[in-house]
Amino acid sequence: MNSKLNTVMKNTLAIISLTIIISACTEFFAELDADTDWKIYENGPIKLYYKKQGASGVPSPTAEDVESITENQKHYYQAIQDSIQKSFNEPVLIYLYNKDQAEEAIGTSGGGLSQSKYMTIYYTFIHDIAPYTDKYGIVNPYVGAHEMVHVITHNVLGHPGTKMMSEGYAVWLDGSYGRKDINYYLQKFKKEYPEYVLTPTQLLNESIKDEMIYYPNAGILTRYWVRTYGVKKINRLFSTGKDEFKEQFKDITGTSWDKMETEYSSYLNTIKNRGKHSR
Amino acid sequence: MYCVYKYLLFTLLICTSLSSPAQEIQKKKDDIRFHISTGLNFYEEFSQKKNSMVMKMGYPVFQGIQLEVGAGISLIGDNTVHHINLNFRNIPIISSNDGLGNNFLLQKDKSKMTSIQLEYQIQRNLYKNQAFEMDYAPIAGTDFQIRNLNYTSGAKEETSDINFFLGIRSLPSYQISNGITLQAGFDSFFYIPYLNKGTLKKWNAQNKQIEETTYHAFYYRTRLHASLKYMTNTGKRVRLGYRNEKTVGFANSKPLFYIDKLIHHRMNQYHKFFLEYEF
Repeated sequence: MNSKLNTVMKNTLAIISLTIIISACTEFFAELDADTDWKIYENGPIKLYYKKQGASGVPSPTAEDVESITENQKHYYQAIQDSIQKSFNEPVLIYLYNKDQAEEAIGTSGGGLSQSKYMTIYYTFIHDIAPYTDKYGIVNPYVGAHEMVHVITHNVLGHPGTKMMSEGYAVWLDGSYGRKDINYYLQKFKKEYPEYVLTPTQLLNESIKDEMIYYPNAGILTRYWVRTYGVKKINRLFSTGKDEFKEQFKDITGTSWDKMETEYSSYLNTIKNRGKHSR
Repeated sequence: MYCVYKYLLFTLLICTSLSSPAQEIQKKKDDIRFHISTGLNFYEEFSQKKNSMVMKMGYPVFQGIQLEVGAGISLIGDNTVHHINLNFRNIPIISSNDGLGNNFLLQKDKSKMTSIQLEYQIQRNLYKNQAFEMDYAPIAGTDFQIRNLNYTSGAKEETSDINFFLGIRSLPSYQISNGITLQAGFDSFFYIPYLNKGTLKKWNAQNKQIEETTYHAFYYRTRLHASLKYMTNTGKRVRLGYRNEKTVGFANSKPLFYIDKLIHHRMNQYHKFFLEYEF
């Protein structure tokens, strides 16, 4: 009887274990999506991968779009290096998904992401994008400077120690969030939602997760720091972790965190929306 | 997480089975056997193009041909076989592939990877029916890996890590004829972040170190394998086989089971061809 029970138990175990083993595959965590259906356009360090016309249900970039995107990215590529006073000579690969493919492939159909280890940007091409002129004077850029900043800064300044610095640099150097100048958000928050004007401590602690609030605030703070203390000093804080940040800030800038917070608050009160882009 | 629960449940079931007093496993003679092996592995490390679950891995990819040599000892008891295996692997050249065959990213002659893996497994029989046998083997091991990437500008990245992993192997086999056995199966391994440590170092194109960060990895590795084993009249065995191995996961600055400050990731796939001689 005991032996029979044992056999039944072992057979059950065999079936359960086989089921688990067969189903426990890496696809639960990550899927391979090795898409090779690309056309490539090279413009100096910028390598743009895009879909041919008819590849999906929405228009793919035209030859003019492709040329203007790579020209704009070349412009950002140099402007970012000039702004942070660091040189970067790697090629940057941009994989541009059509809007109806992007959500599935890269997790967003309204922007993109970057992988600095691979010098790569994954981005959405939106053919009927809302009109906007960025702070570099580029009219209706399909791909902004934000992800290019991540690729360059993460490679020349190191791994960002805080979200505040990583996104702060990207928004400061892009000048916008969601195709609106960062000063627009500041004015709107001051007027309608004063609690959304974040202090440096709130930014450091990531007290608000909403990107539409966090990102413009981080960009404005970074811009203020660069103007006040100089980019070379602020670069040294890029990879500083949250726990050491306040102390490092004082060591590098010579200003205490508390004093800086007071001065930053006064600075925010002086900003007026002139309806123009501000570097 | 569903997969993790399933894995834990399975481990629990296996433990129950191990402690079961009545085992209907074929008695084998006490014996010590040795094996040596060699192999050729095709390595691909994919970029992470979608960070959210289910993550997506795609181009560009770092790739190379890996040479592998190994040796092991098997202690054959009445109901169990204890295996200790040591493998040394080296990729002398790593290049990148953008999906269209272009290597824009790496100086391939200066990019390389070395890894050493030590594993211990206890093999037991779960089910036997005529020529078909189903064995399983809980496994534990350590995995040391060092990878150097040299980018085209001269910038460098070095990652070195030592990881402890736990897993389970399934080893179903079918004796085709007197001397030939077909074996195939599926193995899965978890790398526990609290037991793993790695260091990422980066240098800029001017050879100035810009970063040194420690990380703790949470990886999940699977291995699908198939082999043919031939036993000679003198009891020696030769095995020729193929393994498809995938590892997915991430490494944070702190030991965590979710992505916080992502420092490093493994999203790789190996196609492995191996030859083993047992004596």
